[in-house]
Amino acid sequence: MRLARLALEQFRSYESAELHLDPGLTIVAGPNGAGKTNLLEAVFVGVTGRSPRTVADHELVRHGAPFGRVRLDLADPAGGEGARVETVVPGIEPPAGLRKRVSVNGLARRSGSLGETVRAVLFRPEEMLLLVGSPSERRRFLDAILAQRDRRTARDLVELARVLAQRNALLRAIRREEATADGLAFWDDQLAVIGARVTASRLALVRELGARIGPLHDAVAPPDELGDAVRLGYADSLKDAWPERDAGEDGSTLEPAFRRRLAAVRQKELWNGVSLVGPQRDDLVVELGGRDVAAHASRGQQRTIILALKLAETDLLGTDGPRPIVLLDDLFSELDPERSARALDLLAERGQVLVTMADPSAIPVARRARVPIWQVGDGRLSLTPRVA
Amino acid sequence: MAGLIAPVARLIEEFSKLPGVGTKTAQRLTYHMLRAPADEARGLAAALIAVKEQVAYCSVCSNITETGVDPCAICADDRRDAARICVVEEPLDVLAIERTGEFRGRYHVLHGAISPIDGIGPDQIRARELIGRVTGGAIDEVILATNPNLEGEATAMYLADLLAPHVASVTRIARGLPVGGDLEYADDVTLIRSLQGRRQVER
Repeated sequence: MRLARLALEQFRSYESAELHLDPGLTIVAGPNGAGKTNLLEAVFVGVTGRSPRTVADHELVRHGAPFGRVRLDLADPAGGEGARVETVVPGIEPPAGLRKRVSVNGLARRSGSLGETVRAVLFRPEEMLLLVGSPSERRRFLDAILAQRDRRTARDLVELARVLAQRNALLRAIRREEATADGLAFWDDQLAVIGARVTASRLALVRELGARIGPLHDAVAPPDELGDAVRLGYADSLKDAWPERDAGEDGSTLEPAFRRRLAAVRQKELWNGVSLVGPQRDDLVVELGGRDVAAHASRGQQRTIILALKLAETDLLGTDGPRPIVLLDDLFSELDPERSARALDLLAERGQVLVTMADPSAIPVARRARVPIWQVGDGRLSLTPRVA
Repeated sequence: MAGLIAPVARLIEEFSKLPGVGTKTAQRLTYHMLRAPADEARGLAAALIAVKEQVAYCSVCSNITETGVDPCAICADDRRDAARICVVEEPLDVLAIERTGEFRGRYHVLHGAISPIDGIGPDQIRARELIGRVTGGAIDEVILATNPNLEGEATAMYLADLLAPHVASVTRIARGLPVGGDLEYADDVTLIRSLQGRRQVER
């Protein structure tokens, strides 16, 4: 389904606002602090039931208001029944009995159960950390995609976290000589079984993203950089315990590999009091022209790669569910005009895309003419007349 | 608790230490006790003290029993099958299984499950007592009825290894769909488990 209309009431800086969206690209422009990010956040809240910026829902409500409301009007491009998704968020002093609620066509739904109907992929400037930050950022990126695509893996991820917490507690207890090492057998077994499944899922995901990211990156990168191919890899913690690594993500070789590796690091784990093997130690490797991007790519190159990564995610999610609405916050601020122009061309043909930028005049007139530009200011939205 | 006289504040504090009771509920309970006849308060106080003073643990199965009644009523009952032991985490689990009337053997209460995070290892549950019971060789079957969660499974696996040399048959309770339920409302894990544990139709 595509998003036809976004309506806000008492949401962040907006008392009341409405945004109509085209099937393709839409630009939201305005000075810093005008409320561009709030708009993208509203779409994300409407689709997922949660904010990417805060866990305290009352922060979403305009100061002093009892509650806020986000409404998405979805249209079926195939001509079928549309849907109205409404999210009501209580403010800091809500009316008695008001709870956060999500409804579809007036019927209450569990928040976060909309994945079959509508999805969203969001880029925030903070996500530049995806490439330069710690491995945990990249693991979270992979796991969030896995959790959306496959409920079994989503469950495995939750279970894995519990197994690791218990196992680490036991390792620490053994180090303090409050427990004996024979209690580890059950947790080793769980870690090997669930760890192998999660690793196999991540490997398959990295391969699928890797197959898509190349062309997307090359569509945005300037011609003289095309020789530098983007490559995605997965760094596991199994070392030489997994000689079958190059044969692919065959789960049947992973589980014995986990057991071998666990046996090999047993003593070290007991000294450290922490699990040294498993998906919690792994990393997504991103290379440009054979070199690690965190250390060698420029900011512009990194933005290009992140854009390609996000679009690869979008394309992938679109293969087994509704194509996600792409929300790109301030992606263009560090792209040179040539990259920006090529990125816009690429985005124009990738379903619904909502992009914020401070100054749309940086876009060449010919391209600007084809895209609706909404201007944000003083908590209001207005559609800029298109350049003839 | 500003504005509250000391005895009231103290009772609210004590109530709010109970599981599932927050400050609001503790306040309501306290004001209920204030309005109630003095006999009711004395009755409650006496019951609270009695539960600590008149309850002991059975020296055989570790279930709770009345002080002076040892072994407990179930362990002392000759009509029950002494060769079968059902291992559970908590005394309440014994009640649950007794309600079914299906099991006529005896019990062993662990008072917990293995959970390293909570500092509970094999020595903190009554596993050694269980091994002591089965080493005589008179036990045919031990049924492991710990909860079907991670900690319960860890406990069951640990006990199974420990029991294997001493007992002919160590079994684990089945996991699957609730009776009278609907497939479409069952959660994924339960459905998967029930598919894995499927059985030949008996004819």
